[in-house]
Amino acid sequence: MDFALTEEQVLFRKQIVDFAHKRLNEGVVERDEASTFDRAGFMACAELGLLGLPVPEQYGGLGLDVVSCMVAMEALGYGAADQGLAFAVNTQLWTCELPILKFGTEAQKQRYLPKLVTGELIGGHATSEPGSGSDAFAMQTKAVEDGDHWVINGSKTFITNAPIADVLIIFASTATGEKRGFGGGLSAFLVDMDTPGVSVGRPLHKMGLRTSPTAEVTLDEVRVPATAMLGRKGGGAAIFNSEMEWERSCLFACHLGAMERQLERCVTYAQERVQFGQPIGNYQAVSHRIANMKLRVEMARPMLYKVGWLKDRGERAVLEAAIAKLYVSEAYVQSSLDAVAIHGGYGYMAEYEMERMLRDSVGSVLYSGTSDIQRNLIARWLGL
Amino acid sequence: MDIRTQLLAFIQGELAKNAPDVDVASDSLVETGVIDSVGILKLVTFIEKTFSVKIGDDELLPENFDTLDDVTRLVADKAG
Repeated sequence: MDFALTEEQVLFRKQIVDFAHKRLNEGVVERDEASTFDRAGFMACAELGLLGLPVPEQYGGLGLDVVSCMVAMEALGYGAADQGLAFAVNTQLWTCELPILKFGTEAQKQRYLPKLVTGELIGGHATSEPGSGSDAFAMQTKAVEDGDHWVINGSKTFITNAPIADVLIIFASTATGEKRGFGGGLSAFLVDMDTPGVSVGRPLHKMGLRTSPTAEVTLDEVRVPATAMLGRKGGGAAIFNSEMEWERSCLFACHLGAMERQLERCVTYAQERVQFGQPIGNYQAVSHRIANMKLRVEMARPMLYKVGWLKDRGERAVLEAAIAKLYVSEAYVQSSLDAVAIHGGYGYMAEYEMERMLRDSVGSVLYSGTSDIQRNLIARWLGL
Repeated sequence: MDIRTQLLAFIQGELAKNAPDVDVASDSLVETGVIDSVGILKLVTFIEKTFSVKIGDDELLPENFDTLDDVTRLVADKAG
């Protein structure tokens, strides 16, 4: 494995960091307080090409390889203090555009991808339900065939981008009887949000990532044409697993960038903050905490980039993605706690942004499969 | 060893070891839960490494993995 960045990757990384500093960070404390989505920032991300990173040029994207996508996401996470906005961008990329690109028909690609890349459309996916989170395949949402249409009924919750979305990939059971799991006939549908019967609940108030809007979605006799099915009937599990592999690498590269920024803030603070007559960085209680933060960043990077390297070689990276996701998310939370501790009372104040980073980090051990689910997967892979 | 024998050994040893009542050679692997959402990924990873073939994500459908014969046919078609 060679993770040395190319000249183009280095330049793109710098471009994204500079862009984020200039365009995405002003007013983030206030937006977080008000749980406001920065649509102008989202559109600016589109203008830079971030919404089309892996999408081929023929659909308006940049057509980048996986490692380059990860470099870009790490840069966004490093540069953007608004992690909710970065989360919305990631949602659009890995849970909407990528599945369409990988599993969609040419007509579906032509219809959705160019507009998703430019930000004209906002997308996401809907998997979780009030009664099925980690047990995703126990979902109750059903799609029933009716001539050349499908009729979908059910409720989805914790749907990122739902309040602002134009299209969602809805996962529903197309099985008959009581089948579930891999054999349960899970299928995916591209559903435009203005389709009769689709309703979005009020935005959910979250602990962190508040600038990324989230809501429940209700599907009441939603009638979509057969051409709205993404992939094949019963192919939903494969689409979901594919999404997760991308998300567990690229979204978490964004978190790695945030950890790097957090580390730099802590080093600077420890050098400048004086207590008992000397900078607090002179005390091992502080310096060792920061050393551990550095350790986590350095451990996380090769784990994540190995996933990208494998995917670029056309290999599966199920185990590696689970390991990376598990490690990065738990490291992110621990480093965020350390950052608050290093900043003391200031770390607890909103204007210093450490408390927000902590709140933003906690979701990472839950979404894309909880830590327990990742451990289950790793254990299964080991034959346990 | 032929394809079927290698697949049988892997499924028995890795995926069905906690399902002694399942006859891997003839039962439905999907309906018995031997192949579930994680098991399918383990099996496909094994197939791709062992037989040097590529299984597309769009081929990860229950009908391609329902029985040992189904899996053997899928691999044989690709390896052939």
